Amino acid sequence: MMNKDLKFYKATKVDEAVKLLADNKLKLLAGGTDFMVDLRNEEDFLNGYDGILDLSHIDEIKKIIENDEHVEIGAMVTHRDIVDSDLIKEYYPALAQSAGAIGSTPIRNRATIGGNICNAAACADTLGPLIAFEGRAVLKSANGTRTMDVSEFVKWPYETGINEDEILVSFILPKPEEGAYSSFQKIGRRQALAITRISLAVKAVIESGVIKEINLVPGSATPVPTTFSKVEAEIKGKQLSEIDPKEIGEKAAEEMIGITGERWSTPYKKPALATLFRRAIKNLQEEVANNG
Amino acid sequence: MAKVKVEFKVNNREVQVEVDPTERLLDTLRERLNLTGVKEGCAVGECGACTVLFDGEAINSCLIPTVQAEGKEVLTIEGLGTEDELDPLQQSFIDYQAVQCGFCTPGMILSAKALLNKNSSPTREDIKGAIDGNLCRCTGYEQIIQAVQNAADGEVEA
Ligand SMILES: Cc1cc2nc3c(=O)[nH]c(=O)nc-3n(C[C@H](O)[C@H](O)[C@H](O)COP(=O)(O)OP(=O)(O)OC[C@H]3O[C@@H](n4cnc5c(N)ncnc54)[C@H](O)[C@@H]3O)c2cc1C
Ligand code: FES
Ligand code: FES
Repeated sequence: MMNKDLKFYKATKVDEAVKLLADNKLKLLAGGTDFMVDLRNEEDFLNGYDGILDLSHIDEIKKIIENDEHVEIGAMVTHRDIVDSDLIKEYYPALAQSAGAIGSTPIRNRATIGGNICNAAACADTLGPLIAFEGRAVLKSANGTRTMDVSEFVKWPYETGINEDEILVSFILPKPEEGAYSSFQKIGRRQALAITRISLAVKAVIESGVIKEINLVPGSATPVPTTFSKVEAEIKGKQLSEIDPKEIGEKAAEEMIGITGERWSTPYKKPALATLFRRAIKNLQEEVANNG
Repeated sequence: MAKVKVEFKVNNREVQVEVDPTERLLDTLRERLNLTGVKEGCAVGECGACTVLFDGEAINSCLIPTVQAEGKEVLTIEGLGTEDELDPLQQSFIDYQAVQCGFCTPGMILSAKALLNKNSSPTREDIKGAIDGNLCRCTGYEQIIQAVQNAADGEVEA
């Protein structure tokens, strides 16, 4: 049953929002695209809350800001804003591509990056790129500010490291190094069966044809997206042109099974993941060759 | 839940409603404001039948609580064209037989409207992208794409 005394709050400043959160137990509302679906599907969605706090009028967290060393993306930035941002497209192509692959035009117009990460589905599309770019999440409460690596932020599907009195205000991404490349690919749509979705975010730094840094983060392959460190170690320091994409694909599939074990979805995911890794390495080889 | 007073504009008219904070914009438009051109299909953001323009952008009214409409301008299919003269998009949908059962049509036209407001000569790909959140079970989309092209610049690829 819905609590009759639940109250609706909206804030126009982060300070105001965290004060409200200090005194009340409130369910946060951003673009509402997960919130409204959950509200419909889960009878106990608002159980235990004093009310709802709407963040959609807080302009200070709708901005993308470039500093000397990093870029700060506000939590209320929509996927549409990300797709439209020349800065994001230039510095973080994989993030722009992942935002562009989300839902549909009306969903992207409304859904936010903060909501995508706080909802923390295993298939949250911007999560892989944020981890690959070594992003940090900035959390605020009435007691102050703390930051956390995005890779540490999501604990388990639908579980994050945020406290009940905190708001996620932004993500901080280091600026790309010289020779940085990135890409995002996704197979399948949400609407279809859940197993038909899998994605891969790649960030690499290439110097004179040698892989100096590489982060490979598949989405939906593991309960929480994580860097595939064994495959990364395999590739790092090697001449890009000498890497066999097919072999990397097979190793990635093995690494996934090492993390998840054999599951009912493994027969589908294994070849799908191998294909994504193979394609990603091939594309990287072609892109670097073309940029010569 | 405690009711909330919300003021916004619908089809250029100021409205004020008192709603539960979880009431969907879809229900406010259909049930309180009698704008039944807004359709409910899936109720979970997948079909686009409930599409309206929210400050000029296409959104799913089944996923927006009305409380978030405060101060916004909402456009529904009823706000397009007049009794005597249809909007060029509406006329074009008729001319190109882009309407069969008609259930998807209001949402489809509004998604196309959002596109044409920003881009007066869209490519086929632009049009497909703009209606990627609107499902149609009847037409196969081709007539719809042609209708939008026709309304935009009159050049229709067969
Ligand atoms: C039809 C459809 C298709 C979709 N397709 C995709 C897809 O392809 N890929 C994908 O990744 N997702 C998809 N989604 C899921 C959803 O759109 C995204 O997860 C979206 O980014 C959520 O953002 P929001 O602003 O709508 O969040 P909301 O629904 O408002 O909030 C989501 C959750 O995060 C919490 N929250 C929001 N903002 C903050 C904050 N700043 N601080 C703390 N907590 C916060 C809320 O309390 C809530 O629990 C789809 C959804 C629908 C309905
Ligand atoms: S009813 Fe809103 S998208 Fe289907
Ligand atoms: S005309 Fe019937 S769904 Fe489009």
